[in-house]
Amino acid sequence: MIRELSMVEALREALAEEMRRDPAVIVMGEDVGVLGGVYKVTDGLLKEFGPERVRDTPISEEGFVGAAIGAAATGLRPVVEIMYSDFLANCMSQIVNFAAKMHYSSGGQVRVPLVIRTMVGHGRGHGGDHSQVPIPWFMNVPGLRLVVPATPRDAKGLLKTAIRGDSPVLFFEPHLLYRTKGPVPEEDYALPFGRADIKRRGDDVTVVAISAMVPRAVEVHERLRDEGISVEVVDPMTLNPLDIDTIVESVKRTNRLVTVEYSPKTGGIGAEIAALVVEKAFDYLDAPIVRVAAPDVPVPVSPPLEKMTVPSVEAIMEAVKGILA
Amino acid sequence: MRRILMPRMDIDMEKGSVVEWMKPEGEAVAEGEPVVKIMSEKVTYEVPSPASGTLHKIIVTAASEASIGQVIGLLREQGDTEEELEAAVNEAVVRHAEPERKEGERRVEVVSHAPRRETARIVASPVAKRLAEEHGVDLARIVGTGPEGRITKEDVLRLVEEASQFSETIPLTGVRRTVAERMAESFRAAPHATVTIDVDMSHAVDLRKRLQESGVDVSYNALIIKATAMALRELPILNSTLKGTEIKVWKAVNICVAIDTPSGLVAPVVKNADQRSLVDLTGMVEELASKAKEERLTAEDMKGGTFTITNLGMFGVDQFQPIINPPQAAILAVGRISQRPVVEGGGIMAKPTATMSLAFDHRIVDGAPAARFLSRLRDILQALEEE
Amino acid sequence: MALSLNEMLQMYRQMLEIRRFEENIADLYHKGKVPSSAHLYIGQEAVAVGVCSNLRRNDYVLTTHRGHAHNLAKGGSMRKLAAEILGKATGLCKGKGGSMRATSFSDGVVYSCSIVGANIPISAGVGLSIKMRKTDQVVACFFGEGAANIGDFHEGLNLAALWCLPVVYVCENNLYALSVSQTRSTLLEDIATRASAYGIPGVVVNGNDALAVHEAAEKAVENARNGRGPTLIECKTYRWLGHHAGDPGLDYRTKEEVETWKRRDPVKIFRELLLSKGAAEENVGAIEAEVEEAVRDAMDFALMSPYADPKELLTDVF
Repeated sequence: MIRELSMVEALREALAEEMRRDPAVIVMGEDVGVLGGVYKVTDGLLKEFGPERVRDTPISEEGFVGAAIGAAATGLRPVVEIMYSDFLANCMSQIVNFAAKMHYSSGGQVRVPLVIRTMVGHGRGHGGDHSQVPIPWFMNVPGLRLVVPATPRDAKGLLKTAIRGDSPVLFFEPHLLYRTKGPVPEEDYALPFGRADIKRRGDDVTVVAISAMVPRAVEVHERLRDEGISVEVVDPMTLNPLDIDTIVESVKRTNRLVTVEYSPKTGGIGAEIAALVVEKAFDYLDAPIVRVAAPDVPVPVSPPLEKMTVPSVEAIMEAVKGILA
Repeated sequence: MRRILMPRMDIDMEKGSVVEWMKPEGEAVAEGEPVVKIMSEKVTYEVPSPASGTLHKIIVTAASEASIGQVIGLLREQGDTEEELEAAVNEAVVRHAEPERKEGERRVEVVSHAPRRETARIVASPVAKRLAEEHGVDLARIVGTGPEGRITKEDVLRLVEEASQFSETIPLTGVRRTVAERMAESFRAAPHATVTIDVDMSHAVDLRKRLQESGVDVSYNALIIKATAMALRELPILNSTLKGTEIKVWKAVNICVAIDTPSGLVAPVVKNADQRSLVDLTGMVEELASKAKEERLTAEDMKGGTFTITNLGMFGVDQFQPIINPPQAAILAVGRISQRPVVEGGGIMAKPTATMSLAFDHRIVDGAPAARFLSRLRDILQALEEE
Repeated sequence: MALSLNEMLQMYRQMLEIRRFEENIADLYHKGKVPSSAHLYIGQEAVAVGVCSNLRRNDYVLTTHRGHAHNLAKGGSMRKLAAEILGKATGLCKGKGGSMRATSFSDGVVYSCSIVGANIPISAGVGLSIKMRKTDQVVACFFGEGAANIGDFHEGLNLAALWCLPVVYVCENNLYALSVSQTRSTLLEDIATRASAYGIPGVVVNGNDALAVHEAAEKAVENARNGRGPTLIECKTYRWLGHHAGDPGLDYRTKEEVETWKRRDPVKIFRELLLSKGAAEENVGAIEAEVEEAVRDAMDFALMSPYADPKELLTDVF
């Protein structure tokens, strides 16, 4: 009987195990030490590893991300927590102009083995500047690895790979799934970047779902199975590198593609995937590609309005049925 | 610029079908040079070019029909402008797509052969297009079931699956098409009934032998034609036609002989069969048969039939139920001559016997006269002599 | 600790190398050989050399777009630096970084940050790494007075001070951030005053006096190396040329001002100092001849080097 952990617990395990494994791994961020993180992901780490390796930072994202970059370039493996992914805007220059580019612009001399973990898509009344899923901002910056785990097992395995790798990583954790439990192997394992996971097999439609949308797409698969509609759910796991081959191979079988994300639709993740699929599998498409995404609005606080900014199971189901009509 | 029209090759001709264009688009053609082959009522004609120039555009393609006078092609002459030609093409295409329908004329629906869309963009999904190309399916012939009429993968595969059941597809054109239409029409309009009789052919066999020995070749067909013609003279109601509310009895006895050709069944006419000698009849049938096989039958050969004889004896068939050749009243089906046991004078003898079936239009004739006719035919055959 | 004559001669050599190197780059720029912008250090040589003469090979440096001098002062190859400035394959960064990001990592130059102020928190991070690894390395971070107004300055200094990191922050105050003078950017006379806002020592020094710079830096380096945290040293200096090659720097400065500062030429001043301390004219002359030769060799090398193969476009992304 495989044990079940929540995503928070799985992430915590990954951090603790990697910190035990390699003394160069340190954790930094606001409230990560004494408080154990506002989402409790770093809970217990201060006690085990001490204040040198688990550092509470002052409120200065550009400052401590810059520091993490300098530390990474000279021998450490920092794992920085950005409390709300909206705050990535505060350290955009360090991430985009330095972490992403130092290796290239130095002709390969400098390495930046930095992991930035951040919470996306709060979903509970935190408002426009505390609820974003700003993943697409970074898809357009060469030099950054982008990770989007959707299950506790995937989160643990992918975080380990992120920490052990030598490239800068943005690790997006879905708040909506922090407490969702799932099976997590006992033994040490790491999941590779650039390998999509087919969460459910199907023949009629390919649904590529991102992050918190994955369990919703899986639910759609279950419900529609009774109606005789067979939905294949593909979870990319990482958006850089992106396993487009698995997605294309799936579309070649089903001839239909629906993408599901909860970033705003315009210039979003679905837009990039759709363009790639048209490029590589044009002659296999039996219908136009459908993108399900958040509407192009800042997230409001009012609960019924906020709900409308996150695609529901019903909305996804409607899109799937629509593409089959 | 000259319009090539579907010509009226015969006084009764209302429409014809294009068999093949003898020049491709863009090729030069001289005045009077055959440019297209058309067919009407199983007769093929070559149509000469009205002027010298290049064949600019084929409007009606092979296997398609057109009414007489309709534009089937356009000839480009020196000095023609692009605008003129384009306008003429557009006009002709539009007219062809919407043929004039004469009042009272019943439209025959062609179900299996969907019309090709000449204009309008074909909307098909990418995978449908690819599959169509792979399987050699013409997208213009598919009606799409997707949104806004988009042709989907399913639409293409359905057609492919249907087609895969078949090892061969033969278009219903030319003679085959005419036969199909005629037979359906005949069977639908005339209530068919059949009477059958066995005929002792020993006398006919003897007659033939005797004539052969004196150097005269006479065919069985000729004997049967002659006997039938004589029987028709005695019972002329079998030599009639129903036109509207009137039964009209023909003056002449012109017997159609059914001939099997590579392109199908044709039944050219032996005119005034009652007035011909057996030798004449033999020659006439032979000539018609070779003309039929070489597709050289003329309109004249095909006109004026009043009764039809059809013979499948050479295939070993004893008996069969024929379909009347409209607008005639009856048709005689002849089986093979074979040795059969016959009771005669208290004992059983082997006699050359043939079974003959007469199918008749019950609107015109009843069973008794039909039976009487058949009976007379038998008697005549069993006593026929050359004059 | 007093410097020996040899050490001073070495400092002179380095200052002269920087001077001649930058003059040649300016010349190549005007001949159209430099693909990017180049920001020249002429007039500020005493700062880079004064500080770096206190550093060991395995100490770190972070510099800026005006960073040729620090690469050289830290012992970087003149040939490879020149080639990098010209964008060639034989450059420090294969030609991918250019003048503004020229980085000799093996000589301890971690990076040249061309976004003003960015190297300040990054240096704090390098300090953090030193501290965590428990070595006695230090990191020197160079920036202009313009950077003292950007957020990274505040956030980086705060972290370095808070965590007591082994960083020597060197503000090269040349009075102008591009065209905007210090007096038009801040109310402060001395940038070093801001050090107290973070609880660290702030020192003002004559940036054209290599010995004075050396002395101030020596103290700061020692503090850093011995776990007493960061220092902010403000070096008052001046750049003779404009902000970047091609900018005469006279739209926003007066000729008189430039001439006044040229009379305080740090290289000339140090030469005179050397001779007064007993250095032989021939030794000094020999150094001068060697520097001429070395710089000419570096420029020739750079000019004759090829550009990188097109397939290099796609390498080093990860």
